[in-house]
Amino acid sequence: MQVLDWVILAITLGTIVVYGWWKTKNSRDTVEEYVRGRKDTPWWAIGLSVMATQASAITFLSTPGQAFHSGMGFVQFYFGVPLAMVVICLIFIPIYHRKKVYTAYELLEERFDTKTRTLTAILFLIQRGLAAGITIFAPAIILSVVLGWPLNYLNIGIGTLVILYTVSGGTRAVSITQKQQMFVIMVGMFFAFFYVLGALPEEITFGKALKIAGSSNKLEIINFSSDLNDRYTLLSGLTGGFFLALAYFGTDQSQVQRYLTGRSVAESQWGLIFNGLLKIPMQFFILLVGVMVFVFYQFNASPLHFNPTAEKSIKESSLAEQYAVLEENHKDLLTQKAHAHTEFAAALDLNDLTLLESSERQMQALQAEELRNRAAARSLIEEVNPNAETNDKDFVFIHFILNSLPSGLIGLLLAVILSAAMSSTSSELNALGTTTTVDLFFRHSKKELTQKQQVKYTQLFTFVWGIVAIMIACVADLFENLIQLVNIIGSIFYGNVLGIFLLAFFFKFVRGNAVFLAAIITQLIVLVIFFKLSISYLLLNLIGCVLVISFALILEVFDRYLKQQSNLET
Amino acid sequence: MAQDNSPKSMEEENSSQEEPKKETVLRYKWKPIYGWVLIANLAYVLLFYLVMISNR
Repeated sequence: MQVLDWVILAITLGTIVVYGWWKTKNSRDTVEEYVRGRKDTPWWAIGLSVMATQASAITFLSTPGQAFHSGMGFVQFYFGVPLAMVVICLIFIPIYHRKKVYTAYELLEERFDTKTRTLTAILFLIQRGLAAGITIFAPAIILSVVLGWPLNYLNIGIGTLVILYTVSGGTRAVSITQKQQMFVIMVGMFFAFFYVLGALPEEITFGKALKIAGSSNKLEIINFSSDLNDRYTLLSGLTGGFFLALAYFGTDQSQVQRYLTGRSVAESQWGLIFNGLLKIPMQFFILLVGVMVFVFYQFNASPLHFNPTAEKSIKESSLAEQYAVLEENHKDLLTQKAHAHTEFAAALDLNDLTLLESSERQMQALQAEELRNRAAARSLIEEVNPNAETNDKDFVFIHFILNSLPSGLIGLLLAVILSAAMSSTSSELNALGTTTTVDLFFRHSKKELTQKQQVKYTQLFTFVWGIVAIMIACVADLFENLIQLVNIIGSIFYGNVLGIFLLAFFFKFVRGNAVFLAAIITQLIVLVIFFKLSISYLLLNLIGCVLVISFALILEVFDRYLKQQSNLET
Repeated sequence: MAQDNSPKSMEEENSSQEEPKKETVLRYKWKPIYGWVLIANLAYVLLFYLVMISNR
């Protein structure tokens, strides 16, 4: 990193933080303004805010790496999003607006009772509190590995910047800064995309780059398979993706709070429609950047393994020689691959089918050889350290940024990653602070508070959650696979929470006691299933949702039957 | 509501066992844009499929 990169990084992040703080320093007169903004956010700003909340730093670090290794099939995971947006626009938003709620869980008290609201709010706090820590930790660990910056300084740095404007300006600060963060993110990704296209050999046009990617199976975008073992298929996207999106956008306060800032029902709905229409192209574009990085590395040297820590440990071990042999093989392959790809491009120009076929066969054989080589390298790394994380997809894009982009653009792309980390963390802290204050503290406190005091308490709880998130980020390094752990914890609770909301909206005759009891039984069963049965944790979302609805219906019918019997007796 | 910082009385708690209030009854209002969102989703699938098969 050169001085120019530091300047661009500091100016970009500094401007966003200072502007967010300055612009909203008068937005804390009432708790209404602090928690819901001034209710003047236009639909496009709501849409950007919703997208910025979902897109964390790991989206921009991991997704291109995912495309590099496994192609673009991951985009299918998002096909459920537009469907979920329509359902939320039709059902969730009108009710939230009509009831003038501050949090999604407030609605559950109106519909059921206080205990159901409190239980759901606590489930949200556990899950989102952990996730906030990981949203900070995930980019910090990657940046600390590749840049050599101390991990805890990064955790504290990112966390402090977010706390500064989120605590100060509340929801308005989150919304205002997210517009700029999304702008930086999109500009940075477009620059990266056009830079990588320009860095390809002269004869490799965009069309030919796509052909090269296609012949290497990187453009297998749609999978019509109904095999449940295939992780990313059209079917899993439209079903599993739909349920996840419905739970996340419809009941997670970090998202609900974004669209509650809309000046009307219509503005909130248009904001989500905006997200529903643009989410898929945005993910497609990020994956396409990854595919272009793949094509770039067909002509330029890449490390055998992208994680520098794993590479360093193997090079210092007794298996260093074996690894060196694989590296030599990897270098030889690059020369052969570049030659085969150039031949393939020439065959495309000449429309020579025989040459096209032979060069494609050669490309695929070399590609298979490279995959074997990389797999052998991973095995060696595992042999040295059986607990080592051998999946290096998170390091592919950052390696490209730091080693292939020119000075200036490196600073901009680091600003993209940190902006993304800050945008999602700020939404999370804002939602955690709001839920703790509104659903727990205000609801159960007997104190009479003035507006100013209410704002102060909301700020205090947002600050406390910021510190908790930084602390989780600082100890996250002690756990193996913590990111997966957080996803698992999310899946354990999400299905139950979604089920409770679906009961509130669609099952009018079910009442509070049945739902509360059903939620507790469901949570216990989901925990037992998780610990005792080895099923995919993604299925827990569906199981939790189905169980809570079924139990609530059974308990309600049973309760009504008992009451009817006792009435008959009396 | 958020400003309501007094815990519910027993009476209020029990009243939650009554039938849901009228305001919680769902009112759907279909808008043409929702149809366009679903069509766009289908269009994305077709477009990506075309990109896939034309670059094989």
